[in-house]
Amino acid sequence: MDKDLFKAALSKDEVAEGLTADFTSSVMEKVEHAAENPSQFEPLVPKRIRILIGLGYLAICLLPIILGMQESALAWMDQLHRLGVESSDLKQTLKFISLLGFVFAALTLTDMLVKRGAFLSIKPT
Amino acid sequence: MISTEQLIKEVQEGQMQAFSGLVDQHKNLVYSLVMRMVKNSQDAEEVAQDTFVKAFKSIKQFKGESKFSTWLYKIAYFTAINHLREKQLLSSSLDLTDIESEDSSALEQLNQADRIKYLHQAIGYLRPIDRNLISLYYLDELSIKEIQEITLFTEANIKVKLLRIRKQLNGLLKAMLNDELQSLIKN
Repeated sequence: MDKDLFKAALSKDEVAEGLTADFTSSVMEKVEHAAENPSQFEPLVPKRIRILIGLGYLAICLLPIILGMQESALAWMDQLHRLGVESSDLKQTLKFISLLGFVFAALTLTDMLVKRGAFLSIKPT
Repeated sequence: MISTEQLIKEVQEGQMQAFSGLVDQHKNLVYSLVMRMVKNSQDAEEVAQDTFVKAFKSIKQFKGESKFSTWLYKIAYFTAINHLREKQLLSSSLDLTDIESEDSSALEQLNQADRIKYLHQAIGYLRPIDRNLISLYYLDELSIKEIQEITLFTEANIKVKLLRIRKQLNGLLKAMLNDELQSLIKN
């Protein structure tokens, strides 16, 4: 099958009726609306920042787990204890940070998954 | 007539009305591409409008590294895919995996008008993404590199897909012509 044959067959599909007369004005109406209400279309926090926040919190929430597995971390906690920080307070704080981290990571992940369609249509560079 | 580059510059500088010039210059191009994929004039017009709104919102990021039409094609392509996904029409076609054929002689016995007719029918059975891919290549005569910019497939992937689509079309044509022959024999 040669190129000309393909071209002829595909040309049969080309738009016969075309666009409605007010196409441009309809687009301009939507464009003006978009320009006046940017928050309706753009999220307040850009996606890249949200992803960074999510990854940051994920790192924070993983930190105590990694540290907890290290002997040096125990020594570090001991040091803090000697400085007057109650280990139970420290554990509570770490737990809270971990929980927060998991929540943010989950939210970011859900956001990315739910908006997968929109994700594909991100502005081309 | 103001050039596309001039209109883009004006819009990027904040002159919103200049965007209507860009819409006028490119609306048929966008509509044709979208229509090939969504196959419904009302939906196609809506998707084409959304394409231009998206283009407007991100025009400041257009650096002129590719042609404006290619950039617009890319937005239209993904807007159409999103639309098809929402309507769950993205894979609406026959299952063509079993009817690929290496043999390219399916149309050899026919005259030119019939070849075009059957090929047109066979193309109608392809998935919207595949239909668009061969349209970009054969009808719009875009290079593989330009198609890569629009669809984000790799060059090798595009070549493989084009080859596969041609094989599927051959298989389809064989099946269609066989059916035609069978019905003629019965009558």
